[in-house]
Amino acid sequence: MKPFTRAGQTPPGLLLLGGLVALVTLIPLVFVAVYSVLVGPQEAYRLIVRPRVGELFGNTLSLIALVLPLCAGIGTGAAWLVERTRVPGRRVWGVLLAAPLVVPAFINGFAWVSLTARVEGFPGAVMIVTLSYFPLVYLPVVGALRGIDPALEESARALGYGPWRTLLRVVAPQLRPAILGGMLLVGLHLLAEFGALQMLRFPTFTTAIYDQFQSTFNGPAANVLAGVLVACSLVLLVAEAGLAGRTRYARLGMGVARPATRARLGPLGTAGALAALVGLVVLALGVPLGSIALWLVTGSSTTFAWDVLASTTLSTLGLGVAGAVLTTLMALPVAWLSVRYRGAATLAVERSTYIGHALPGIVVALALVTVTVRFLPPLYQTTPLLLVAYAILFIPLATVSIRASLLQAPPVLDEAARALGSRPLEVMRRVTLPLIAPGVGVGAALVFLAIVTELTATLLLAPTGTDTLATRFWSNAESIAYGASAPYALVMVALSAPSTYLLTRDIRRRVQR
Amino acid sequence: MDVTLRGVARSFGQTQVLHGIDLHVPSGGVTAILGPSGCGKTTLLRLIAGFDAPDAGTISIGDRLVADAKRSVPPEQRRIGYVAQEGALFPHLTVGANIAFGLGDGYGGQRHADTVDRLLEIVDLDGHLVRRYPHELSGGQQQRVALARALAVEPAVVLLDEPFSSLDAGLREGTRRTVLHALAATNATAILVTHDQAEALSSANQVAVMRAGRLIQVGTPAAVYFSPVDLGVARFLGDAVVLPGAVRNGLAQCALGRRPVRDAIPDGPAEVLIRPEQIAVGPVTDEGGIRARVIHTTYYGPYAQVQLALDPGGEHVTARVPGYTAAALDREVCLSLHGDVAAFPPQTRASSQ
Repeated sequence: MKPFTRAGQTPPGLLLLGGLVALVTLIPLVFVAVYSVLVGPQEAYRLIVRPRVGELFGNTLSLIALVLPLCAGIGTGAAWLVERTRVPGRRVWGVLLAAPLVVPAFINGFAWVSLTARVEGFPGAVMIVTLSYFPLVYLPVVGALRGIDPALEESARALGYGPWRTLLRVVAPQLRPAILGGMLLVGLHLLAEFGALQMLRFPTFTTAIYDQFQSTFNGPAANVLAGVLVACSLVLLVAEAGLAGRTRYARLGMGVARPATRARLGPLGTAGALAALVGLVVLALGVPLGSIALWLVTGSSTTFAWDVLASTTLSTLGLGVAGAVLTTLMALPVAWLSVRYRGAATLAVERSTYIGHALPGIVVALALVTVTVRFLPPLYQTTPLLLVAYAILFIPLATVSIRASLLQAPPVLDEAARALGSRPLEVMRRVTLPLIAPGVGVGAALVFLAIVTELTATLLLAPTGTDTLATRFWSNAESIAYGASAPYALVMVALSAPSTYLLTRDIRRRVQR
Repeated sequence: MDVTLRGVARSFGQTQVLHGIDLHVPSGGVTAILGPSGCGKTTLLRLIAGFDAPDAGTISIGDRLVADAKRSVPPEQRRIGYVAQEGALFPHLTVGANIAFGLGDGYGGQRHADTVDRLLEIVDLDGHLVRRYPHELSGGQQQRVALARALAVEPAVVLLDEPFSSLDAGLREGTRRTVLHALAATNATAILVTHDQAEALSSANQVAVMRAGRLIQVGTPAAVYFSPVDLGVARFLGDAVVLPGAVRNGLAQCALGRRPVRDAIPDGPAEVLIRPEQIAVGPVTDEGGIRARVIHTTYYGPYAQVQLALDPGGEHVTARVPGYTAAALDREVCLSLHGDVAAFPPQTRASSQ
């Protein structure tokens, strides 16, 4: 006989491992906090309260103030048309409306600006990031619309409510968490967005930090700006955490027995709806893909260095695989702790690992640059450091997926295997790992695909001489070599397609009922 | 093999879930642990399985001490069979591989094909199911496979955690019969945790009644049903008619007449426990007898519950009569009491739940 680890007790080794992962992912946040303290209030005040910072703040805020409602309106309206009306071609629209996620925002910005310089500046920036990010509202609202039990609407109708009143009083309140959650996600993306806005010459905090970094390297100005940016992100993150707790539960039991009744649109309504959907898809998907195609055809393909594209693709794939492996290994103990040993400590570990994902890539990169230059100079501008940055940025993609698969492998299966004579390691090999392998695979794939289109952190951290598809694309696009950029854009779009497919799989599966 | 628990206690945080449980499960046959949800019966089963360890007390399987307050034999070394509430079949393995799981690393169960076939036969499942996956089986079939898997390792004791409660009524009875038959055929010792008193009474040789973390009564099904230790147990095990009365010289006198008392209690006032099926309802005759008025009849098919008010007296009693007689009952009827009754000193009513 041996001492017994009681049910409910967290294994200390596992907790230590999870704690280490959490510490790594907290580096950017701790860096910003410590730096703000070290620089002192007076110096910080001097650096922050400047006309330039005021302008950046105004730019960032006005972008958010306009894009969030636009995304909410377009995303919700599109979701309602596809889910609750008899508009023709619903299945096709359902896919096409999620598809803009295939085109990373910085490629979208390139696609538009390479066609016309008129999209530069505020109005163009608003339009292009809205087109890039409205699916972040569309997808959760589709999920919420499907999750609503039709019996609720039927009961409202039976109680004498008309269709519009039912929509307003019964359906809309249930969509609110999904809409707000989606808007906050868009907000976080806007704070982090670098490529598209730089391309459109619309300066925000993120682009300003990049410019500062390029000119003064490790200057206090960039770090203080990063602090302001992190503060903005944290405001959104806290709001999101408060909402997500509720939305996630609401979205859990999505097994709805019957489809809801769909509204009939008159001939005029149908024409209007179709025109709106066609317009939206053309702008959000048609223009960027068309622009890339145009540059592929008209670009000087004879002089294009295909061998460089091939070698860059290979090195990008290599970085993607290595980053995915590292990130998945880090996500495993976190997911395991959060599913199997739910408690205050494990919750803290899990939550910490989400913070890096919500921080702009530029902040993560800046933090790692400063920390390594100060404490671990040999690590600076090395591949391992770049991989750690990817892990900090993308670990939630793996955690969420592994979590979901762990829920499919409940402890009762472990117990059944133990009762049948299997020792803990054997249970892991014969029962748990086979069951979670698909989820681990999907998580790793999502991380991989996120890495191969990552731009901002890679620009700052990639070792000299290492180029990825994104950085090559970027340097070509910045020097207005649009024809030379297009093939890189095409490869990245092609690589993004599977991740969009994976992310929207659940939703599409339910379309086909 | 027999199982012995002595003074077993377990707390979760501030809540004590089990208080000093003493229980002997004899070798062979089925012992049911019966109690309402939250009474600690599943915790007790998990302690026996080794998924959890007691804070105090000892647990032995056969002559082997498997757990005390300090140490615990891990479940994989206890030779137990475990059937969870919803089967807990491994979803990534076929039926054959599930059953062969405990026999070692036989890939797809090929090496153990004969054993698997024999076990499928014992649990009355068709051999062609071997290649199926758990999600392709009905709930009842899943539970039978779970039992076959547990029996494959020839366990010292089979632990069943509410194995039939997730099945719908139509499947439950058939599955239960098959499972009990298979347990008997392999001469296994089984502990069945359930909250369903009919299941406990019909399945077990020994019923252990639990309430609020304590074992209240252990005995044969007939003993716990007809001679419950208090009115709480009486009501938990089935419908009960309790009438005020008195006991003298081993006979209980109440509004329904005078009947022998099963377990002697001191003479004096008493609560008299009668099961509804002990009350026969007939037409009014000239011979006298106890007269009553029918208030309401609930018809179940094979039997009917008849609510009655005694006349004179007005006490309400419930009788259970064969269904075919229910329709013919007049408004005024005559009652007669059959069989022995149980009686309790009046204060025991307080302990009922």
